[in-house]
Amino acid sequence: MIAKIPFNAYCASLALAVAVAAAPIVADAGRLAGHGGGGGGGARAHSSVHQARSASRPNVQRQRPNVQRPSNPKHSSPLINSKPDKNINISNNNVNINGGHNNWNNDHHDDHYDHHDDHHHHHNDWDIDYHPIATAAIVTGTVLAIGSIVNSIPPDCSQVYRNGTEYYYCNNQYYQP
Amino acid sequence: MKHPLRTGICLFLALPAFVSLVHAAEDADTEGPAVTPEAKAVYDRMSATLKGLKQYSVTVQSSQDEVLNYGYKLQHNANSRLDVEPPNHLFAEVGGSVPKRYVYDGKTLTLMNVAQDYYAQTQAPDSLGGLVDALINHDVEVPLMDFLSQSLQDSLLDGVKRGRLIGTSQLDGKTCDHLAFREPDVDWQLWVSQGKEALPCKIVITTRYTLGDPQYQAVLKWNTSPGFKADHFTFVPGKDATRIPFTANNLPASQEEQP
Repeated sequence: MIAKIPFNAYCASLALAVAVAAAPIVADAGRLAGHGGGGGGGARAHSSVHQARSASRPNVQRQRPNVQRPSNPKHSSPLINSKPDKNINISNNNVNINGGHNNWNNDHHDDHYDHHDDHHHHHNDWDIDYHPIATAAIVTGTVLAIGSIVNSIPPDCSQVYRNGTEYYYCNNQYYQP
Repeated sequence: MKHPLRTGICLFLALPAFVSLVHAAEDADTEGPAVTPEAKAVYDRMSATLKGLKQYSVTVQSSQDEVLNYGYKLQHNANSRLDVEPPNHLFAEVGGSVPKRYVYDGKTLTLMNVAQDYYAQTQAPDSLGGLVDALINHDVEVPLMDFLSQSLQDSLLDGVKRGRLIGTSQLDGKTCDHLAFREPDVDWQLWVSQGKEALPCKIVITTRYTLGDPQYQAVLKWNTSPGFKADHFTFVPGKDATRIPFTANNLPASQEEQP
C-alpha cells in the first residue's frame, strides 16, 4: 500500500520542481550540447567513465539538487497514470504528452501547478512534460553550443539575416528563433 | 512468522556471487585486489588490441537516460559512427536530436550542425589524446572518449574500487567477456569480445550520484580495416554551408583563436 503524503509537502515539492525546470539554462548550454544537444534539462547519464567521474566531484555535482520530487519515489506515481485519450505532441525536441485538457508548458507553471497537483490526485490524468524547450536553438557561438537548446534569448540582441533565415546575434552567439 | 536465520540463508543463496562481492567491497577496500587478475587480463587484452589498430570505424548504438525533474526517466537513443586513424585523425557523426559532425585532421577541429549546415572551426591539439582532453574540459561528450585517448584508456581502471570478470555474454553473434567495475559514485560494465581481436562489444555506465541512477549504454560494432580515403579527415564545407564563429564557453569570440 502506498501511503498518502501531506498535500502541502507535495505542493512544495512540485513548486520547487517547476521553479528549477523553468529557470533559464543558457549557462548550461555546454552541458546540454555535450549530451547530444537538445536536452530537456534533466540529469543525464554520461557517455564516458571519465566524464561520469569528474561530474561526480563536489565542485561540479550540481545535478542532484535539480532533481526534485517527493521523497518517496512511489509518491511520484500520480504524475504517470494512464489515460486512454491522451494527446501526444512531439516537435523539435519538445515532448509533451497531455491528457487533452491541460497543457503543461513553461508559461503556465506558476498559474497551474496547484491545479495540476489537485488534478493529478483526483483524475488520474498523466502528463510527461519535457522541459525546457521554449524559444530558441543556439546555432553556434561556442564549441559546446552547436545545436544546444535554450529556453530564453539573452537581452540586447540584434536581429540578423543569414541566407534568408532570421537569427538573433547576442554576445557573439547566433540564436535561431 | 519466518525465522530470521532461515530468511538470511535463503537470501544468501539467492544472491549471485558478484552482488555479495560488490556489497562487501563497499566496506572492505582492503580485501583482495581491487581488480581481479582475470578481469585485468581481459581489460589488458582489449587495450592491447586497441593500441594496435592502425585505423578503425566503429558504429555506436547508444541509449542515454535523462531523469526529469519529477522523477520520470526518459531514454534517448542515437546512432553514431566514429572513424579513427590514430594518432591524430577523427571523423565522427554523432546522432541524437541535433546531429553533429566532428572532423579533426590533426591541426583543426571542425564542428558542424549537420541539419542546418553550419560549421565552426578552431585550432586543435596535435593528437587525439590532447583533443579528447580539450573536449572534456569543455564538457563536450563524444561516444567512446574513454577509448579514443590512450592516456584515458590507460587510466580507466585507476578509480576502480572493485573490478570483476562476471562471465560471458552473447552480443551480436559474438561471445564477449563481461566485466563489472564499481567506483565510489559510478558503476560501469564492459563487454569485450573473445578471440583474436579483443574489442569492446558494449559499455554501460551508471551514474549512482544522480537521483534515479541514469545509465548510458552503447553497443559497438567494429570495422578494423575500413580503408579510409586520403582526404577522409579533411573537412570541405558544402557550397551552402555557413561558417560561424567559434568561441569557448566563457570567452568572447574575439579571444578564441580561429584557424
